[in-house]
Amino acid sequence: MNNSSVSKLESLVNFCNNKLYKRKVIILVGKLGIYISALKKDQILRSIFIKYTNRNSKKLYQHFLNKYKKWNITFLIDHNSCKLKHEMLPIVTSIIESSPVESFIDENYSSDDIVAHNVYEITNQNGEMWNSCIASIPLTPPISDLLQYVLTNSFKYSGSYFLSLEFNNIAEKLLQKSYGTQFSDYLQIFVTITESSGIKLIAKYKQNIMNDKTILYPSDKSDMYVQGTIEQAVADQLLFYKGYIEKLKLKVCIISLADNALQKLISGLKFDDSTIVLLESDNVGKKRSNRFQDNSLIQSFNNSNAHLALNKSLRSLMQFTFINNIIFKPMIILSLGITLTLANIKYKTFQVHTKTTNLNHKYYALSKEYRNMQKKYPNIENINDLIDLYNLENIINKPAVTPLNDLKNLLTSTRHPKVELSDIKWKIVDSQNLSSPEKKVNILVDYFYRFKDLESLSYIEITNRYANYLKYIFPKYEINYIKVPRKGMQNINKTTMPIHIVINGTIRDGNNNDR
Amino acid sequence: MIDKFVTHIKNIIFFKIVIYVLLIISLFTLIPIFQDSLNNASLKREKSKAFLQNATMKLESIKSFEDQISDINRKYQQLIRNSFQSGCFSRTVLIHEIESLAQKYHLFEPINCKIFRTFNNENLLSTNGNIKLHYYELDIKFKAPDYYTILGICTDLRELLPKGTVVTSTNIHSIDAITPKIVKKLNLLHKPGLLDVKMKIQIREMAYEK
Repeated sequence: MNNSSVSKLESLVNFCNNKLYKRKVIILVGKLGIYISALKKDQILRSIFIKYTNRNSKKLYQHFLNKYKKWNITFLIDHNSCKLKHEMLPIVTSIIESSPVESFIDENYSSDDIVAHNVYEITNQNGEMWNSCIASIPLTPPISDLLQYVLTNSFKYSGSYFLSLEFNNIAEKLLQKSYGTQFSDYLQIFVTITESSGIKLIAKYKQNIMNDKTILYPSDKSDMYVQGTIEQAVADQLLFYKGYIEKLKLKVCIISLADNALQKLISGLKFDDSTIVLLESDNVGKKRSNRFQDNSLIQSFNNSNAHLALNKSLRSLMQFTFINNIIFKPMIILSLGITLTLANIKYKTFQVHTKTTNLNHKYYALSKEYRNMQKKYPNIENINDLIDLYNLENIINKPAVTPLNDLKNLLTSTRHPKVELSDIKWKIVDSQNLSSPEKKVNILVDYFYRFKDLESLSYIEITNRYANYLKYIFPKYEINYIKVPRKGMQNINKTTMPIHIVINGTIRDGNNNDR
Repeated sequence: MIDKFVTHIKNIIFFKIVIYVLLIISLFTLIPIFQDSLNNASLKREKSKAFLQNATMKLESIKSFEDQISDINRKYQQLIRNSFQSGCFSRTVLIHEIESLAQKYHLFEPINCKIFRTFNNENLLSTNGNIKLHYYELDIKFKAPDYYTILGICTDLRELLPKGTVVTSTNIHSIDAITPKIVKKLNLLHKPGLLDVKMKIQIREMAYEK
């Protein structure tokens, strides 16, 4: 099918229905009554069938739906008033801006009619031609009543579909389980019995739903009678399409979805060259009668929604519902995020306030003690000055800090006769913080190693030895030495190799001898 | 029926948008306000902490010198009296004593000694009361003939410098060549100083300032 025949809204709704929503209520609006199933993750949890003739039908479906308030509700329409039409729409221009089927629907259907379409074939003989199947239903009870109830009671409406159009996917899904794509090129006549409509006969070839026929199910008659009814209906269909089958030389298969008893009887039927395909029913062992296949159809329809049915109002409704669902989620997340941030800031502020209050309480207690102390010595004029004097005296009343010991260690140490000191820079690193009792000291020592014979590499050994010696005399200091450059400076008769040693350490106030 | 519902949902969307936009704007507006409030609270806490630390220190100080309070008070009174006298005298004496070391160690050139007061250094220790610390920087430059003389002068300096003094840097540079200036001053009595020594010393002095 051409992608342009599917609107963005339809794709979006189908995507959500098939992929996102996991809890669904599917309402099959049949010819005899409505069949409602609640599905959670593809499994039917509960089902109910309500006949239109039942006086309490409204109460019954309302009661059922109320139990699934937050679930997504999908309509699968198979009502008497449904009309299925085939249209061949020629395309005049080669550039298609809007789907010709949608234009056709706008022109030929009332804006209130709920319409869905399926473009099953596009041919290019004598110009482009879109072969489409259009299903429609007027917005009348019971659809209008059900929709009204769903919308006015804030249920999550997630679209309507026609059973006749969805049968393509349903049949494919059911056949896929047992036979794969074996019968995909056959003309298929699908037979099943539903509680909501009766005996359903659907004739389809590939994507084309050729006929959707319903026969009243004779519930008071024997299985043989039912078999006879089905046989007659199928034979009628085969006779109706005989010319078509012969012209296209089609192979035919009769697909039956029913309970075991009926399947046995159907398996004995013969329709010329047609193949009879028996599908396994999923209803075996379920509480409800396994003769009716409503649940099988609903289960196959679930997660394979294809042709969304809309009218003008429903289109607007779906669009706004989407906007309502999509736009506000990021806004809610954003608001929550900001609220959490604000709560976090407020909580931190509260914590800080609590700490400040505690500090203030401690301060008041100390102040009280301080005032008591002042009262104890009334003759002292300014106790604050005395405190300052005492503290400052403690800080500065210490022997002078001098480099004497470090210099003694460096200058009186035994050196190799060829090693000559050239520069010593002794410095207190953090001179801005002299009040601290511990002071970091940095000593840079530059010395030369002078030698006459160029071949000698012993200076490396001598400098290593001297560095190790410095480590010995400054055990608590960190010593790094750098030999620069690789080649020494050459004078007339001697070569000078400058060497740089960095000594870092800490000295304490009033204890210059501490090493 | 559905049209009414569409109108209803349109209205809901409109009001929801208005409400959410207003909500988000107000929440965004509240963020800087809350942040300011947190910053103010933090500042208040820091102030309280500082006050508490100050008060604790004061109280602990008082408790620690409670037995010597009369002695401290006597020192305080003495400091007040001394503040009216000139402090220059003691520093001049110090300079003379340092300069006299040149004669003691028979230096080739006299010791160059300068002292000056430093102000407005934020990192220097300060108080809020009347007792202040005055900072002086003492620069000493001299040339010594050998390392033993340098060590001798350093030993004497340690004795001369008042308490609380810190030598911040000492540079010893070995002069490789004799300059014309040195040649001019050469004599038989003193060896020329080929080791150039520069020292920077910080002197801290307590003073009373009203």
